[in-house]
Formats: sequence, structure tokens, C-alpha cells
Amino acid sequence: MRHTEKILHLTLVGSGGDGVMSTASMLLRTAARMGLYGMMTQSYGPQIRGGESAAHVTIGVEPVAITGVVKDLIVCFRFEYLSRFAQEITAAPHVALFHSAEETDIPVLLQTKEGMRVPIPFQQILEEAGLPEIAKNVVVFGMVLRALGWDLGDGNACVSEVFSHKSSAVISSNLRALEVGYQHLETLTLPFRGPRHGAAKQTTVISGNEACAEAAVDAGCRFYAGYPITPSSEILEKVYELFPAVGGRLVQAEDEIAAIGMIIGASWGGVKSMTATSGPGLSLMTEMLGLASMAEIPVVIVDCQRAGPATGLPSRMEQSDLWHAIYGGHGDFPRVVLAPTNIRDCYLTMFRAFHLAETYQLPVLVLSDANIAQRSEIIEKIDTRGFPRGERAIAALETPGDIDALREGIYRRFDLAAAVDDRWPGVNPVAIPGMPGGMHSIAGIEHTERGTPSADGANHERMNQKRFRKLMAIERETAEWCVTSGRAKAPIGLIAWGSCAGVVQEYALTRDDIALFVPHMLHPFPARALQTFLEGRRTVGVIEMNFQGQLYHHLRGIGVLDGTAHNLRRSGGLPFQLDEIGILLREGGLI
Amino acid sequence: MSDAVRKPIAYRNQCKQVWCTGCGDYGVLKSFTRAFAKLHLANEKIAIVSGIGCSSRLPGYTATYGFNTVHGRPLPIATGLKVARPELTVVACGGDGDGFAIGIGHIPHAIRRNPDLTYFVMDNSIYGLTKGQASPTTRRETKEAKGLVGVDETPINPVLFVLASGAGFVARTQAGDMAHMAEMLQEAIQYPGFAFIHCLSVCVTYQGRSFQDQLDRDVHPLPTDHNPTDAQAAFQIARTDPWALGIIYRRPLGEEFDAKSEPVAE
Repeated sequence: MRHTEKILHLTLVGSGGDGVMSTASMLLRTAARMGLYGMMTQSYGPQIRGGESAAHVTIGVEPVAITGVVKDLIVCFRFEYLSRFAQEITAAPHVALFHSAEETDIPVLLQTKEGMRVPIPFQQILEEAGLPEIAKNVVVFGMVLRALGWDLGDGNACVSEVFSHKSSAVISSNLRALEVGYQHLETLTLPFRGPRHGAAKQTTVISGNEACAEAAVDAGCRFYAGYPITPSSEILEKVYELFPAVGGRLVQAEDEIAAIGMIIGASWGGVKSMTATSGPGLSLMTEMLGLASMAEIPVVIVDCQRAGPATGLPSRMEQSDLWHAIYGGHGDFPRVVLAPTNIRDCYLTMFRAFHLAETYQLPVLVLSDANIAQRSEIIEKIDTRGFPRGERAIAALETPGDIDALREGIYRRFDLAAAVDDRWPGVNPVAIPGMPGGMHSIAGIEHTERGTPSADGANHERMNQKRFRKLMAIERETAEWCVTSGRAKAPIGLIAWGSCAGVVQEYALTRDDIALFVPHMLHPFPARALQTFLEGRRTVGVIEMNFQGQLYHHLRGIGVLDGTAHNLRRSGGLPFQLDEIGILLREGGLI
Repeated sequence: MSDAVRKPIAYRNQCKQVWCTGCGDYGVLKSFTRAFAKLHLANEKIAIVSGIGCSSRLPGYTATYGFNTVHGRPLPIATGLKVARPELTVVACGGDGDGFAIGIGHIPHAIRRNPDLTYFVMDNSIYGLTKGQASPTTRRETKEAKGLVGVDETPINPVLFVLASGAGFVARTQAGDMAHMAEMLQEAIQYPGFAFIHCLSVCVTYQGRSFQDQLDRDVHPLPTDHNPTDAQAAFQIARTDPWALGIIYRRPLGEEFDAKSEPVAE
């Protein structure tokens, strides 16, 4: 049996009007219907909209961790577009290449001995069938369906679902387009077969951004303010779609400064609140990150990292906001940093983010990245019932008896009385504006227990101690928020985080001398768990996608790694491929 | 305490105010408490959100909910709070630098969203807290006379700016007239949408006597025949008369969008 029956890599390359993304998306939905797993990533130039794009789809009978570079099936509308994606596309020896009939000069990249070329007269097919240009993507979908030996019925069901909100005329036109495509290749026999029978149950097709949005709303988020920025904007769009059913409110802010300001205001009002952004937006939010921490207001901020600095490579992934997330901002203040490793993990990560923000009354950052954010995956339905759901402690208030008591104020928002207990997490029950007897002011300026301004250095020290107690308490609670794999005696210990963890894990599975540690909590770091993992390892390396080795240096800074550890990194761009991990390890002298 | 009518003093906490003697902000604070008392507002239903600057200390002195945020950002924070807690009376306040320099980008957008809140700007045309630099509203003659940076830069006209941005309620008052300030504030709070109050105020330390003299000499009520629902007349006043006090513009309800106030589900 060829590997293609277990896992198949295909890609569609076209430009704006070719509809490669929607075709790929329909293939993924159909695969899900068939009980298969799959992943779709998209690739486009810096212009983000318009221009050439590639949709990579990998379909498998087992869960898929990465979209492979070596393609079994390629659909290409214009060969000239291929040059942009040269690093992402390699033809398998048996590749089936569907291309526009008018394209004749096969690029070297796609020339193979055993492969199969199928010129397709797209324009002619559309004209003969009397179909509009816009139906081209569905015709292509039908062709790929046939080539993979999938049932037309599954394709019909997919088309009906995708166009369900359109008129019946549009639906029937697209069903016909599907059939036209399917029948065009009726007599074709590919040199390989794709995955056809899967056992996955109750699956759904979802992107990382959609998963973050769904999980946030499930976790109780009811206010969202955000400013559109690639690659995070789908979170804003998805939350907007989900909010009406639960009574949430969303504001599209004038900039990221306003976005974080609004969520701080709404959260002060007692409503679970979040925003999502990317690096440039996080930079703008940084002053008020400190305000949220200083005024002890829970907020959740998702940063879909892209390659930076400044505008950087807006459509490409990188893991270079880690230092900003952990250290960014003036002054000393506690914040929490989490990172999901894949789309499934976005659910638990978002629940944990709201849980920690609300329980400990501080800002929580979720470091997603362009890869997780915008790729789509077929995943099994997530059962969120066991996920943490901490709530903000609400103060028990007394109504003041007279005007003097009212003016004096009984409530101490930042009461330090509990500080005598070493285990006190530094958290006070909160009075929400509107609650009788709880009147007080809060401030970004250093303040006393009652929230009134104070320029006393000793008070500042006590308040810093109070606020940083939260991190100690969180570190205790989250000490095991990491995943390890591989043999206890494996001589090589690797550390990887975020979306890179998946490919490193795939690589580690191919060798028995490698064990892997994946932190889901980046700050405060599960240091003790890492120390335990590292015991007895001969060599240690941190693999990440940024120029400076940000996690590597952070772990050295907090004293978990020493100078013998290896800093295995490269700048952002395309996701790591399997063979690249081997190259990094060889170049680092680990294998 | 019962919900019997509270006196203005019931809205003041016991925190010692640290403005300079003679600062206009004392009067503003008194007018706030007076307006709250007149409107019979429960203390806990009031939230004051300020930026940074001398005037932004105000919420620290009221027995209400208060938030002294960061420089220039009271409007986004007040907007978020109002969305979350529509039942609250939300007043955003700050100075001319806070509002019309660093924070000016938020003003037209707050106006577009039209949350039911009041934005009260104490405009003394100087950066007092940083000891006397020119603000975006400092007049060129003042800058020239005092040797301040930016002599060649034209000052912003706050009233014209908010009118042009589409604000539904625009009033001007002055810190030396407590009764007028309280009256404007009451009207603004009762207006169901974004309401802007431009309060001319004196910085005794860095503007000094001459500005007070000018205020004493030049401020005057709006012409008796001014119709605040007449947008053209409002623009005319905004362009030509920087000293006219009163309700310059009040858009009739229903003429454009009304503020939304559905509560957020929890």
C-alpha cells in the first residue's frame, strides 16, 4: 500500500479569482464527513489579499500534524505562480499534476518520470456546461473528488452545506458544477489512491482563530474589543458571529490602544473581556498591559504572532513576541503567558487564560502564531466540561450606615491584611462599579490599600510584593501545565513551544534517542517539571522560530538551563518541516 | 444609608485634595458633587474615569467608583465600562493635553459610537503637572509671551472639533462659575448619548493672572436667541466665539442614532 492511502498531500496554486482556498476548504470538509483527518494551510504574498496564493491540504486516516512539502497531487492554474511557492512545493515522483490546458511549458520543479500530467481546459468546460466563471472552484473540487476516488454524494453534501445560505438556484448551479468536474475525469485512473475510509467521529473543520473565539465564548467571554490585524482578524469576526446568541457585545476599536482600554473598562465592570491582535498591536497595547496589572483587572489578550519587528512579514509565522509578552512594558508587573501548540489545544488554552485572569485579576497573554491561527484542521469535538473555570472573587459589602461612613469608605480594594499568610495569592475580592458600599477608586498610579495615590516607596514595595504573589500562586497551580514525551532514558532532551511543538514531536517519534518537553505555560514557567525532565539527559536543545532564541535565553535567565544547552532556532517564515528539524539537530551537533 | 436625597458633600470622600490653591479644579469637583446631588444619583451608580494630569486626579476625591487610568485614554475605558454596565452614570474627564493631544484620536470614535456618557474636559491651555509647557489649546500669544515651544502652531478649537465629529451634545462652561458648571453637567448627564463639556479653567501657577483676567473680561452667556438644536448656529458660535458659555448644540433625539444600552449578558 502506498503511503498516499494513509496520508496524502495536495496543493492548489492560483490567483485571486481561482478560488483555491474555497476548493481546499471544501476538500477538507468532505474529508471530515468521511471520518478522515486533515489540515489546510494557506500561503500568500505580503499583499495578503489578491495576487497568487497556494492552499496546502493534507488528508490522513490518522490526525495530521503538518502539511507536507512533497505533494502527491498538484492543481496549478498558472505555472508562473509557482515560483513564489518553490520552497513549499516539491513534486512526489508519482505526482498527479492538473494544470490549465493553455499552460504548456512544465517547470522543472514539476517534471517527474512516473508522474501524470492532466491538462484541463477550464474555460472550455465552463462554457460547454453554461457555468459562470465563479463556479470554477466547484468544478475543480469535483475533479479532485473524482481523482481521489471519493463519492460524488459526499461532494454534493458538502456543496449543499457550503451554499446553504444561498438561493436554491445557486445551490443547484454549484451541484451541477461539481458533477461537471467529477464527470470530466470519469475515465481517469491515478497512479495512486488517496485515503478513503476514516474512523474519526464527531469531527469539525476549524481554524485556530475560530477555535480561540469559540473557546473564549464558551469560557464566558462577553465583551470583545479589537482592531483588525493579520493574522488575528478571524477571531474578531468569529466572536462577532457567536456573540448575539449569548448576549455578548463587541466593539471594533479605532486602534489597539483603544481596544485594550475598552476591555479594561468592561472588565472593571465585571464582564469577562478579551482582545486579539498581532505583534504591532501588542506593542501599542503595552502601556495598558501594565495598567491592567497595576489596577488588577483581568483581561485576556491573544497575540497571533507574525514575523516582526515593525511590519515584518505580516503573513508569515514567527515566535518572536515571547520576550515582549514576558518582559514588555515599563516597570515591574506580573502577567501570565500561555501558548497553544495546535488547534485542539486552543480550547484548553483559552479556558485556562480566562481562568487565570479572573482568579488572579491580572492580564493573561495567549501566544498563538500565524500557523495555528490561520490553518484549518479536522478535529474531534472538544469536551470542555473538565476545563478550569475560575471566577473573580466578589467582595461581601456592607451598606454604609451614614454619610460619614459613606465618605470614609469601608472597602479596601487592595487590602494587605492577608499578607501575613505566606500562601496568600495577593488577590482581594473585588467590588464591581454599581455595587452599594464598594465605592473606591483604582489607578494606574501607585496606590494605597484604598486605591488612593501614594508616592511612598515602602508602600510601592509592599504593593509590588502583593502583586507578584500572584505569580507564585499561579506557578504552584500550573506546575504541570506541560507535556513530555519520549523515553525517560533518551539521551537528548528537546524543548519546543507553540505551533513548532507539533513538527518537533513528529520528528522525535522517528527516533528513540530523543525526548521532548513542551511547556503550555511560558510565564511563569513550569521550571520544576522541566528540571525533572532534564535529569540524566546528555544533551539539551531548545527549538524555536525566532532569531535570538528567546525561550532559550529566558530559560537560561531563570536558571533552568546552563551554557551547555543548544540554541536551535531560525527566523520566521514558513513552518518548520520534518527534515529541517533533523538538519537543525545535526548542525547543532546533537545527533 | 437610605436613598434619601444626598447632599453634595456625600459625594466627596475624605482624601485630601492636592491641587494648587486657587486651582479651577476645586470648583469643578464641587460642581460634580452638586450635579450628582441635584440628580439624586446613588453614589455606587456613578463611575468617573480620568486620564493623567492635574485635573485627572478628580475621581480620587469622590465617594463614587473612580478610575485614574493612563494619559489620554479615559474615553476607551469609559466606553468599555458603559457597555458592560449601562445602568451606571459614567463621566470621563481630563485636561486639554490628555484629551486634545495624546488622546484626541479617541474623541471622534467615541462620538461615532455615541455611548451614553459625559466627557468633561478641564481646559486650562497648559500642561500644569509637567510644569508649564504649551498644550494643544494654548493660544499663540501666550506661547510667545511665555517663551513656550510651538509658537508657530495653531491651537485646536475643542468645540469645533467635537461638533465636526458629530457630537450630539456640546456645551461650554468655566471653572469660576460653579452653578453654571453644575447645570451643564446635569444637562450632559441627562442627555442620552455622548455629551461633551468644554470647561475653561485657569492654572493659577502656570497661566497666572492674565488668563483669569481674560476669562473675567471675555466670557459671556450665549446670545439669548441661540437655538441649540440649530447645527449651523452651533458651528457659527464654535468658529467665532471662544468665550460663549452654555449649551452650544443639542441634537434633537431621534435625529441621528440614539445611544444603545442593552446590557451585556453574564
